[in-house]
Amino acid sequence: MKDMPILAETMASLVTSCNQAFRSSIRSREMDDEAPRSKRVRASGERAFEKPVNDKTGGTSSTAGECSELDSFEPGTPKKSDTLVEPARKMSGGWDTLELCLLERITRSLSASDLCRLAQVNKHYQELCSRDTLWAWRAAENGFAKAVEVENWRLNVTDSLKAAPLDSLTSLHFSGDVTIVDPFHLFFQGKSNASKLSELRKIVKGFGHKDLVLTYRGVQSAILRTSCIIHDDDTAFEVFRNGQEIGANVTTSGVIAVVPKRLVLKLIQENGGMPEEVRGVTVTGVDGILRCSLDGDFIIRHSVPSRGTPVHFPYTGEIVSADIVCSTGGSWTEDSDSDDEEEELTDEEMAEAVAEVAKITNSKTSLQRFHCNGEGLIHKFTNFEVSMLS
Amino acid sequence: MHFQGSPNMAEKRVKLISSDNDEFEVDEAVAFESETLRNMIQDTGTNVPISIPNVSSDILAKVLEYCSYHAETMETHDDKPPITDAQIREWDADFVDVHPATLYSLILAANYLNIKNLLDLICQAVANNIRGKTAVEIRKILHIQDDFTYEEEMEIRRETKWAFD
Repeated sequence: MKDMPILAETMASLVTSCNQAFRSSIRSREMDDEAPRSKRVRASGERAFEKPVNDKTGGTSSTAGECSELDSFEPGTPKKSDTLVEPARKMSGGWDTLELCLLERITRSLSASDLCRLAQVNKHYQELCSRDTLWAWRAAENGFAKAVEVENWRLNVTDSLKAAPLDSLTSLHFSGDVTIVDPFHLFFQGKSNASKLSELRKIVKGFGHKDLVLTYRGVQSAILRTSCIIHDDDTAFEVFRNGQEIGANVTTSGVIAVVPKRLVLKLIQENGGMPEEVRGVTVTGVDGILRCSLDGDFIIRHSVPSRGTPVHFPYTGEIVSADIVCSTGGSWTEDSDSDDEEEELTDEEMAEAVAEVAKITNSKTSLQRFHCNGEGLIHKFTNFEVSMLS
Repeated sequence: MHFQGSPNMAEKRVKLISSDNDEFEVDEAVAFESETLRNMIQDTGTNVPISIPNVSSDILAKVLEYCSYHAETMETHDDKPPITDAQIREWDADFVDVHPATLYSLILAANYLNIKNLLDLICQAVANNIRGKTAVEIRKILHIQDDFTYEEEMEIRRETKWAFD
């Protein structure tokens, strides 16, 4: 999971940037290199400078360490800058001149706000914290996708579109209206957002196509992968109501998302009106907690246990009451209902404004329809209203 | 390749010379904790004392203390119970509980000697020291001088304002 392309890219750009930093600041690096020696001079009398040096040893040493590329260590060879840097260092233990590359290593476990405070320490640390690689790496590690269209990762980490794997302990609470929709189309309309789309795709890929929790400016939603291959653009979810198709594919990206309606509205507003390609299903009046199976099926469990529809939930083996059950083609979905039952339910649903969301595993091959009710089957929104988004 | 006496790795000794000309002698396995020393030993063998001209005696002693302990944790003894991960963590925590100036020298030594675990350990220790601290506190801890003008400081405060809301 960690050796995903995004990280490799990040590392590559990190090296590049280190090289640039090296070229542009040879002078300051010399200062860095000198730091240990002059420190020793203070600590142990005037000894270190005059030591004869084995050149070969020095040569070998330059291959050592993470910072070797930048590290122009030539131990024992006094440099011109010695006298220049000495006064500045008197007050410090060398921490204000430590190579940025080593400092960057120190900051790995620090949070974004720690970095911002660190930037206020002095100019050296400000330079450290302005390195975009440092933020890009942190973004990749934490599942941040670019939320605003600027190159600077720092702004994007602070204005977050963040994804993280949804594990069995994650419980996402949804209340009010939710939309089941293709997240890629919902989030990234228009050419200006193309790069955000690729960022999110990389992250989804990096997380091994697991189900994801996505937060956008503080609003949580959940992205659920399909059990189909993600790069297959033929993968499609279809939405049915009462056995009749009420909309075409919900998604062509192979991923569906459960999104609070207020997030949809926010995204639509930011995209300058209704995105053309967004299709989906809006479910009103949901009040429950999202659970997810290993296959990517999900339910929204009713927050009041006595309400909802009892559903056997294979992820934990428990039977829970659900507001929404949706299958993405996993193992707990068999179309075993008879047509008769479907007819019955159709009428019932019409009367009670109950609808269903169903899913087609593969629109090309076996066109499976899932019906309301029945054991272990899809999708029932008891007492909820379902409407198409567009 | 140099073979002296027994071919048993554990009995091979390596001589190291610090920047202030003190000589240290350690098992080859201890020196091998350092990638840099490992490469040098593979190049030149264990006959020749290895000069480490940019690490002082006190720091080298500390580094070798780390390497010895961690080389030892790798060994298995029939008569002694193996050292647990918790024990190692505790030992490591004690090891880095030193003055920031010492940590600074250690970080350079660990980088130069290429001892990845030690470098990670120290970086983590420094990070723990500065996590959640204000800029003023960090300056104090690491003895760093503020070189911003008033205007610059206000500017950067504005830029990073979100972190403090």
